[in-house]
Amino acid sequence: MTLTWSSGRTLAAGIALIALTNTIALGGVAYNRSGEPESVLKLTQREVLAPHGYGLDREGGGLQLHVSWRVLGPEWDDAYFWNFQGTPEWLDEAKLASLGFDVSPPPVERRASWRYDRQLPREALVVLELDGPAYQKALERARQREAKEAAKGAETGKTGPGTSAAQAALFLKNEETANTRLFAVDVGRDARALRAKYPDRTRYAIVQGKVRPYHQSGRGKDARWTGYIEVIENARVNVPLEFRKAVESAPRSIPYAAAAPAGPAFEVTMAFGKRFEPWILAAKP
Amino acid sequence: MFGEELARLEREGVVALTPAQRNAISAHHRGLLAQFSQEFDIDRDARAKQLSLGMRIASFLGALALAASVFFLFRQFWDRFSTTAQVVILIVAALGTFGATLWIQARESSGYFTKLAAMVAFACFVINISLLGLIFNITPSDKALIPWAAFALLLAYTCDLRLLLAAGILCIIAWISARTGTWSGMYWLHFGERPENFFPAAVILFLVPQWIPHGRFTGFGPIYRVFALLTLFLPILVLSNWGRVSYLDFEENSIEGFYQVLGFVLSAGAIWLGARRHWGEVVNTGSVFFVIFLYTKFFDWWWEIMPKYLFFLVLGLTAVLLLFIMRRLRAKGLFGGSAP
Repeated sequence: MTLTWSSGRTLAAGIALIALTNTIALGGVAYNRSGEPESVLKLTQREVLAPHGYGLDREGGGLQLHVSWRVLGPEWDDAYFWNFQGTPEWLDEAKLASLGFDVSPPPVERRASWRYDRQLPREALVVLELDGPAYQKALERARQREAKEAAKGAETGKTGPGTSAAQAALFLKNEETANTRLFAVDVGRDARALRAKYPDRTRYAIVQGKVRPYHQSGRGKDARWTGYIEVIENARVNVPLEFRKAVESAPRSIPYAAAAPAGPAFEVTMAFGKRFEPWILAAKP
Repeated sequence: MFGEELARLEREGVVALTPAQRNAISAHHRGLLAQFSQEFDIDRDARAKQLSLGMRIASFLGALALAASVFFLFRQFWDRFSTTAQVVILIVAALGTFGATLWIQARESSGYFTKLAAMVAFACFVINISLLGLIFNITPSDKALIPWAAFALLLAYTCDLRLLLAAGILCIIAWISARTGTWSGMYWLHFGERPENFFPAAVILFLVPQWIPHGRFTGFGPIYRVFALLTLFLPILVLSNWGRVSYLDFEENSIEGFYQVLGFVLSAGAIWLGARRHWGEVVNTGSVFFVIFLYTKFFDWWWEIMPKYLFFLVLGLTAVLLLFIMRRLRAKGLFGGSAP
């Protein structure tokens, strides 16, 4: 076989390749956005953050908003990390097995156990919940912690700046006014089953992500398989030119309670389509 | 070169030419060279050849710099356009630079400027698809590697450009390896974490120049074979030192030992095959990896226990020994040559 094409055929082949590739890409976008969106969430600046360097980096290549999400961890101390993305309390062995991971008990021999710590991430559909029970639980934890630390402080007389009581109060304030209310609450492979379980399309969005398992060492029930959501796809969402003013006019981030009490500066209506890819429907200051 | 050879033959008394014959031969060759130079832009002498090498390096660096320039040009002004304008600019840039490449190719025989234009066209097409993904928040997919590879190969084969062939081959390696990785259930972007995913791509690439004759294209066959061997030996090198990243369900030391042996056998096999088929690049790549595998083992065995001067002396003596062995094998005709 020899390739002896004329310039005309080469030109036609190149144009066809470029046209076909763009058509497939744009066709996928049209399909994703066709009909009713899979879900529509109204996010505030608590849930979508502008990049820190925006405006300073003149070669940034457009504006993207970062969707800020977190999980409710099994430990109370996790509540101190406002964007905790570690091990969710609901990601158990059954859930991992449903994603296709091998959750059989690791071998007893220590030298062989490394094999079970190296399962690679798998694709999964992640359910994001906005201002729902998970956020209320996080808020309740913050309130209980604040009450506990305040009582301790009253006993010991340590209530000034920098004490545990002051930190707990500050964290509660942030949890009420600044921290993201978007929580990853479930994972699965079947979008229909997930939607049937979480039918409210204005509170629950299904997105694509990756889950990575690991084996937690310990004795008895403590030794078990668990994991974490390694990444959520398209967590950076492009801001089209028509919505840029609303986003740019807002402060870079919400000032924390320690600096000044302030609410979110803009609201973004974000849709998620048939391929679970997001886009901005509206943005207002 | 022929002039030098003729002068040597005359000096040694092999031929004796009259001044008229010498002048006639010289005039004939000057005419031929002038004709070839005009038609095919070939190098007329050693000095011109050196200049050509410099021009090749300059066009390679220029191609990379121009591609980077296009990338940053998009980034600089991107947020000033509406979505529709952005899409139109991306498609027009890809089409325009592709057309410009073919236009330049039709008017230039050396290929230096064609290479520059082709690299910019490839960069524009890659940016085209990447930025569409960014604008419309499309989930990253390994499928994008297919049109990129096809476009790079189209430019490489029609313009006879090795740089674009290399770009296309890299896209093919990434795509085949990613697909291989997804068969085990992993997310495609993690294919690099299991080096065995690269082996199918290595085999396919090595066989391509066997299936498709590349006589018309300068150096295409060797590029396929070199990339195939790199795609084979680099993962083996990783696995022979870090067995835990393997798919194999054995003890770590056993996996490393297996890949160390496999590395020696395959690199020796590459040297033998390359010598039999007169593939210099296969012999060289096989030799480099054979030495790397050997030195890696020496390091494992002796670095801690030997004085450093002795360690490096052993390395040097080993290299000399290898040279002797290969020279003897060549002299005996075991590499396909004729024995003296």
